[in-house]
This record gives sequence, C-alpha cells and structure tokens, in this order.
Amino acid sequence: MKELVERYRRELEWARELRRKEADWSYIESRPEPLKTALKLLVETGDLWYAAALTGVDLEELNEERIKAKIPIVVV
Amino acid sequence: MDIFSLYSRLLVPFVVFSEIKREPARSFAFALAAERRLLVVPRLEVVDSLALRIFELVNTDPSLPSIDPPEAYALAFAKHSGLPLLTDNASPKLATLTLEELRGTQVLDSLDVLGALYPRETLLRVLSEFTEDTGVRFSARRLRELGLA
Repeated sequence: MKELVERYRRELEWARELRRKEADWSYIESRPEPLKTALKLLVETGDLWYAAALTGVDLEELNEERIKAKIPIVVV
Repeated sequence: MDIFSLYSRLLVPFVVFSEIKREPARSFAFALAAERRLLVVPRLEVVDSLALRIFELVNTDPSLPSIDPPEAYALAFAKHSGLPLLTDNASPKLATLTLEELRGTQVLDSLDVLGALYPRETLLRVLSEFTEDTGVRFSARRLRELGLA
C-alpha cells in the first residue's frame, strides 16, 4: 500500500511539473486579480475547486481560463 | 458514441449540480435532466455524515492528495449507493485504495470511460481529440496500461 501511495505521489509531482511547464505564463500574468492568483494556485495544486473557492473566482470561469492558459488537468 | 452507451443515466448530487451555472453547460444539463438521462440527487443526511468523515479522513492524512467538499459528497454517495463515481481527480481513487471504509467503491476517470467506449484502434485518436477539447492529459503509466504508449 505504501508503494502505491508513493507511486501516486510521484505521478502527482510529475503532473505539477507538467502544469508548470505547459502553462502560458504570459497569459496568466496578463489576467486581472483574483483570476491571476487562481490560475497560479491551480498550477500548483491541480485542484480547480480549491483554487476557485479560495479566490472567489467562479468555478466554470476558472475552467475556461484554465484552457486559455493551457494548464492541463492531468489524470494519473 | 457517448457515455449513455455505458450508463442509462447519470446521477449528480445537488451540491455538484449547483456548480453548473454557465451556458452552454447549464442548458445541456437541463436538456439531459428533461430526458431523465441526468438525475439530480437531493442532499441526504446519511450521505452528509459519511462525506464529512471522508473529508476528515482524507484531508488529515498527509500521504493523500486533498479532497474538496463536493467531491467528498460525491464519493460518499457512490459508497452509499454502490454506484461508480466518475471523476478526473486523483484523490477519490486513491482514497478508495487506501481507506478501509471506502474499499470496494468504484472510481472511474475519463480514461476509464473512453477506454470502455472505444476500441483500441480508434482510442488514441479519440484521446487526442479529447485532450485538444478539454486540456485533460493522461499519465504515461495509464496509457501503457491500455497498451497505448
């Protein structure tokens, strides 16, 4: 079980690196607050609901912005 | 082909359904509801308490990725009803593999669903279109498991 959790942990870290690498940072930096912070939170956590709830950005708006900012949702 | 080739209807907890506020998703959801292919599940006290327990168990375990309240509710409903939960978040799947209380609860993601819908010859093209449309990507391990990488 420990091995399984460790494998997921490695894949989730890989997913975070992928989001950082593929994100369009100039697009993200161009967005107004609180959208900019929500997108940065999304890159780091991969959690759309959490990023939206914490910043007060509408969930669906954040998802549309996520696609424009080229932040992938990574299924592991 | 669509998801209704696999399931006759989708059950969406109210707490999740209430997040659908924008067009065209809202109209699409209402059209499915009108055809009774989508059912909105009311909030149930018995599921509420299980959801709270899942929320606490997952979010106090540092080895597990965190779970948000709607997702915890959806997972609790899946456990309560014996139906599979469809989600692309890793947390519910990992929780069912590690928490005794959730053993046996089935959690499926986009890749599981698309893999069940399409034959291998066309699956790679379908996945590529899906990624293009949604920005959802799949890990190499998962693709390897389907013989696609």
